[in-house]
Amino acid sequence: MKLSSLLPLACIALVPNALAEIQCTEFAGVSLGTCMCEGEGCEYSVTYWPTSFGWNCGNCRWNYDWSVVCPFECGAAFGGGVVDLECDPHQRGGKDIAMSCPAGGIFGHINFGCSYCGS
Amino acid sequence: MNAKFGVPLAAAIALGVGVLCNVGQYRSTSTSGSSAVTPLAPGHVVALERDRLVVPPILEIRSTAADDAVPPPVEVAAPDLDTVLTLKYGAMTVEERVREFRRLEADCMKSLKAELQVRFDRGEGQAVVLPAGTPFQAPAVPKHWATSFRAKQSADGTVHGRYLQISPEEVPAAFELYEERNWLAQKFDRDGQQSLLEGSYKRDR
Repeated sequence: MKLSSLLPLACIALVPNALAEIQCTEFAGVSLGTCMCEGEGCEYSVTYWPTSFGWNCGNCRWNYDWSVVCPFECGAAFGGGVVDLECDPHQRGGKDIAMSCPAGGIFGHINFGCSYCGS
Repeated sequence: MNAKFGVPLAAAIALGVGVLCNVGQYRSTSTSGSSAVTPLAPGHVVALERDRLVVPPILEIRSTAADDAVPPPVEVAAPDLDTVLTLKYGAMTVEERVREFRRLEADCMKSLKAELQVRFDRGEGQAVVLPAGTPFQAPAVPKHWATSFRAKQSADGTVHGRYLQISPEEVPAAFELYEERNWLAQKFDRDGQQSLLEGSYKRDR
């Protein structure tokens, strides 16, 4: 096979953006410490949803929402929003969202990440 | 359906208006035989539903019956999503589209959370027990699936909980909003207009 006949294939392999919509791979995790109120544990709720969109791996987006409800007088805390991560080739983007305990301090984190093109 | 403008197709036919409507163009032939082809301007859409699209008349249509006669609106049965959304958002300013994008995104999450709550209340989900300080890592799921974790901490710090993972397709209301929001974002990109992501979004990688 001639080299010239292989060049188009090489281009296809090297320039995938021109051929298809390439997406990021998202990953997430939750780390929980302790959130107590007068010796009783609190209740947590965490929801996260990767909602990347765009073409050519344009954006790695997370929508998230969390809440903590504690007994007695400690009350509740909640948060939510959107995290946009860089998604450059061969790099991994990441961001931590801190969750606060109504009784004081930070009790946990949600870690969002993405990597380009499944790499 | 907007009752003010929503005239059924049957009524339009009964009024003797022959109509052909396709994507991006509106062709109307009056009973007098005169006709006009006018680009379908986004601002002409007055009523919009997923399964039905009402296109009001183009005012420039000529009529020999009366110069100021305006044909009734026309319904297009089962237009494709791209047609509907192109018309819906085409007339909006950039700022309006950004606001709409954010509203869709927020409503989408709200809808998803409501469905998750129903499922948790029914006792669905996988049980998890985590010793104090142990991170929770949900199993990988197909792209765009949502993960939700509900838990309670015991006095000794142990976390007892459940998690659910669902696809947007399992939440039809949220999925429709999600589709619409994605369409809007990508349309913005392809139109080369303002990013919907407030500067964190890079085009043309």
